[in-house]
Amino acid sequence: MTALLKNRWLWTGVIWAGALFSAFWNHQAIDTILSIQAQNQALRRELIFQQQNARKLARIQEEHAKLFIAAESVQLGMLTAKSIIGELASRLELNMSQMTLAPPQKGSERLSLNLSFSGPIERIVHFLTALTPQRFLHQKQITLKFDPKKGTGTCELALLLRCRIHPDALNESKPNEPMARSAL
Amino acid sequence: MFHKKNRLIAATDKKIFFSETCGLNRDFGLVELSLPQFVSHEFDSRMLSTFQQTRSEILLIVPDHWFKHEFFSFKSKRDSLIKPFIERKLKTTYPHLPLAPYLSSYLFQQRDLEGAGVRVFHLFEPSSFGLYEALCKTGLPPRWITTAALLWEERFKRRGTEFSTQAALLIHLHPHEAFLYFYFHGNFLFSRAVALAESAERWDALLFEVNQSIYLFSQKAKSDLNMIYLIGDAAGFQQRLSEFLGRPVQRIAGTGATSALPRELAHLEDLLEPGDVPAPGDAYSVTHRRIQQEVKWRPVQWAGMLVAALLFLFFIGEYLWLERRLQDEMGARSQMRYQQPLALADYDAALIELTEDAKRPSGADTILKIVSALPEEVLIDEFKMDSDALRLDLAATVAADSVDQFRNRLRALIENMNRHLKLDPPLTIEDVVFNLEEAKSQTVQTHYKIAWKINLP
Repeated sequence: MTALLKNRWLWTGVIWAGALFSAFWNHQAIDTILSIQAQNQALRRELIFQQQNARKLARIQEEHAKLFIAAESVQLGMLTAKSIIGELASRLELNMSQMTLAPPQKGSERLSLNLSFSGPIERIVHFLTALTPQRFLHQKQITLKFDPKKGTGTCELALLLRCRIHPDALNESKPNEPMARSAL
Repeated sequence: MFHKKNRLIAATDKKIFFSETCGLNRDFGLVELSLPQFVSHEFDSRMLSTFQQTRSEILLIVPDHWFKHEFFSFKSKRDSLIKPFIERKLKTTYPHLPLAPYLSSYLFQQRDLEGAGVRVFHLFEPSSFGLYEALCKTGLPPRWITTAALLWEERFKRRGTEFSTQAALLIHLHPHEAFLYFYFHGNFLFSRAVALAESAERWDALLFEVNQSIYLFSQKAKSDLNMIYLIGDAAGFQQRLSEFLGRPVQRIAGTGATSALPRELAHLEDLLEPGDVPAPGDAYSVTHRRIQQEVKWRPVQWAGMLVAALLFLFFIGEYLWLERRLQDEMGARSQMRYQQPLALADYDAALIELTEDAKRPSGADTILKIVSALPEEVLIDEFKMDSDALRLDLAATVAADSVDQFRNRLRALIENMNRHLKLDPPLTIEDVVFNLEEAKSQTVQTHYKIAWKINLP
């Protein structure tokens, strides 16, 4: 062991290895810094762009928020959506035979909602027309069966409810109006 | 400034002395061991612990007769040729001394009689190899191995060129002993130690021994003595010697600093510099080939270590600087991210989602378009729309009096569909399927069940 420690070649090798390792380490650090610098430059450009286009971006944010129903929890969002649909169907005197909601998955903001209702064709179309502005309720599939003799129809509607959890949603909620929050 | 004092080991035929300085003084930590005990490692190793802990090079001084001095004729002056030649020569001449070729030194010389060649001296005494190996085993390999005669030779050669050209006798006088060293043209020939008796005739006895030795010298060197040097003097011996030999005797002053030497090492008195062990030149000492290689590569190793250490320090400094830069950049990134809660990529994704949403056909609108596109006597049975796949499945009943009327109503339906829904590629009659079996004939008209699929634009 002592002979090994006295070996100058060994020490020379060890010091060179240390020097080369630190060079390699620094190279990695330089790469990291360059990468962060590039990210920072991109961020800086983005920041300038955002400042210059603040109004347009705010509009996008606002419009995008309309695609979601803001609620304190997914269940509450579901409840609100069901209430809106139920209210609309009742006002149009449609016969709502089925309304099923797929149980929400943890962390998911999108929920499936299946409706089945019947009534006069004009009212069904009116129902669908009234549902269109509610953009958080995306109409995925519509199956409409007509009975020409009676002038009625049966509609099966598969909806996708887009919900976004927002803690203050209820505080600012207005009756009969889904909360559209700026939350991209 | 960075000179490290060398350590000294002096060996006699029976004993070995270890000293951290050149003093070889019993009062200053001199360790004395029996040579056979040391060689067979039968000694208390703690005795040498202090000596072993010191990190400096070791000079080993052995008796003169442990070395053999020879001259081999050789024309070339090149080291690369001389070294293998000596190695080969010593291996074949002394096969019983395998270490001798590695513990030898040489000097190229041009002699009057022998011509060009190399003066070689090497360890010859078998016990010297045992001692060398024991020293290596103890962790004390000597950097230089030399003798008193070689050290005197070096010292006298340094004094001037006269010594190198003449036949010289050096008498080193002590109160109890006198040492005679004979040199011819600067090359050591032989030495003698003469014990001085405690009587009035001691000087006569010494003169007799000197005379005998000079006779031996003249036989060996085939030359007369040119110079006689006397180191140390007592009771006017210089004058008596001069008168006896009939020639001048040059007196050389000794250092006088090593008077407390053990009696066995009296021959080293006046030879060593006070306070340090001088490193002898390569021409006056032998060094093992392995150690020679180590010494040769030492500057390269130190330079390598120094360069690597400097680079290492530089890189450490660079790393610290880079680390600070990294922290700064990361701080700046965090600050910018704080100022920008949403990235442009998020806006981009939102825009894509909005566009897709806007492109998606409205169910109510599509129904109205389909209904408005229906010609007379065509009634929709089923409307099925997949807004994600942009696909429409339709089923209808066409009432017609004849096949021609059915064909005309079908054409009108297709034409209206293409116009109202702006289909691309347009719908054709071939896209419409109708089940003939399901066609029900009523009193006047036949009801044809048709179905078709539309890919919405």
